[in-house]
Amino acid sequence: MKALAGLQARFQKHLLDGDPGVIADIAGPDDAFRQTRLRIYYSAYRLRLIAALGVDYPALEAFVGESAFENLAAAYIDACPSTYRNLRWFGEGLARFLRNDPAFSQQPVLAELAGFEWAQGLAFDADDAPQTSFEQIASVPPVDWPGLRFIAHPSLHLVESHWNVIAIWHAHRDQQKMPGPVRREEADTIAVWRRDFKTYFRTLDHDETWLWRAFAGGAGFGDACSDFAATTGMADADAAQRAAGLLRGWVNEGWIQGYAVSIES
Amino acid sequence: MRFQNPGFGLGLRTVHYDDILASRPRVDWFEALSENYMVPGGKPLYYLDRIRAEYPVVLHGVSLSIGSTDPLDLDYLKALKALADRIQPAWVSDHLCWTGFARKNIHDLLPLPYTTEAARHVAARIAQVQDFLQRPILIENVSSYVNFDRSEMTEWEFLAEISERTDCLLLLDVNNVYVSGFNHGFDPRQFIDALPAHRIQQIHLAGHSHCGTHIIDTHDAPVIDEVWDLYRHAIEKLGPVATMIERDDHIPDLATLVSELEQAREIATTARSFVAA
Repeated sequence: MKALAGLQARFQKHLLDGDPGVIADIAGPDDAFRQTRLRIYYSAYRLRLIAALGVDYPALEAFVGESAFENLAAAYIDACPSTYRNLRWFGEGLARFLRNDPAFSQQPVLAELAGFEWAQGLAFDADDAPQTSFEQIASVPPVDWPGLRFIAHPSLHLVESHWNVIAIWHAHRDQQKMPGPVRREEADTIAVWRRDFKTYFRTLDHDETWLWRAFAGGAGFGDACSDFAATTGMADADAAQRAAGLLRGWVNEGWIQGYAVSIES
Repeated sequence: MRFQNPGFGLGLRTVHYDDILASRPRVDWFEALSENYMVPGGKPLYYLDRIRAEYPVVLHGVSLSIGSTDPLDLDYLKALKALADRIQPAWVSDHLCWTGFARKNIHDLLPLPYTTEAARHVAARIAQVQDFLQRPILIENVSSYVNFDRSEMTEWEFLAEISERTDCLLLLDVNNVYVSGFNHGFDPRQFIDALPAHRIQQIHLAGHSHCGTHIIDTHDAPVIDEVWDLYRHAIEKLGPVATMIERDDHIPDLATLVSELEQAREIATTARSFVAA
């Protein structure tokens, strides 16, 4: 197996960085023939991965343009060769790459747009799970509400964005003129989720983000409402009413997979 | 031992899901790309379950990397087995190739040298996979653009060798034989004639891109006449074999593929008549 492993190492090195070591392993009349044939694999490797990234990041491709997207994708392919068995996941690190690579980090909208589109992909084929109804939650006796904890649906993802990624995404979807990047001082929180096999997203209000994160962090309804009131400066009753309203909205949108009741100490 | 022959099938493609369920086309079975359904949930598995309820389905993978010198990927095999348990496919197939080395993945069907060392290696891994999945698997010939100096046997001898060693079955991609025959200068009929006929469970038919000095296997076009002729030759040699059209890109509407599949039925029918006569 040693000879086979050596050959595969040389072949792969050629595909990744053009190393010529494998040329001598190839049968053929001359080096020009061998290189021409190897070139088919070399090119196909990049084209296939660029195409896969285009499927995952169509708005990003539309935003930067086809040629710039190819360059961006090629840079990612060279910097982060796939270690995934399934091509589905190859694009997972693109947002991180764009955020950290000096060639792209000066345009932070790119990383944020990539993160937004990746979240949509995650929602698309996230685990199937039930989506609880408000009637089910309402059936919990009032005495147990302080200890009520919620389990988020696995398709739900929150992304933070300072940039107008939703406007860019809509321009791509509607084939409208692409807007330029616009930065807001305070980041938006965008929820992305799936319901009835359709992917949705929307921007959260700031207090909504705070409360959702409290629940997602494991807080019970009672503690979350108390802290919510303190944080927002609302009266306890108003905070509880606002929290109940937000909860009803999340349930209706399919964000809640289930709930648990625990005894509050 | 071969599985029952389910007839004439198509590759299952996302763009056809709704049409398949609405029109119930005259297709005997579908081939699903395993990796497309090795995801947590959502629409892909929903549609696969629904189509499986109406049609026999086989699973066809691109990531087994049976020829790699990396260890077999147990997580991949577990996911494949879970999918097979869920779908109950008629069979499971993948390719005679490697897709990566040292835990990197090229996501391509890369060629092997046809050496005794490689045959032993591949056979041992096929046996491991078959043990794990508790079923024989089908191994498909890939299109290739290079041969290795060190090869000690032909591709068809290699396929015969590994199938004899492991009792695995073969998926004969007639287009790939044609493509590799052109690229390497062998007679595609010789390839088909030399394979162990009793192990060929399935046939793929597809199109390709001719570049003058070589052919690239793009699976993005209709089957060409020369490949139809080669298919007729294969059926006359092998008898009835489960056959499907495999289109991976530039995918036309379902009716167009069903019509192309009718050509395969017609050829298989007349070829069988020829054998019977």
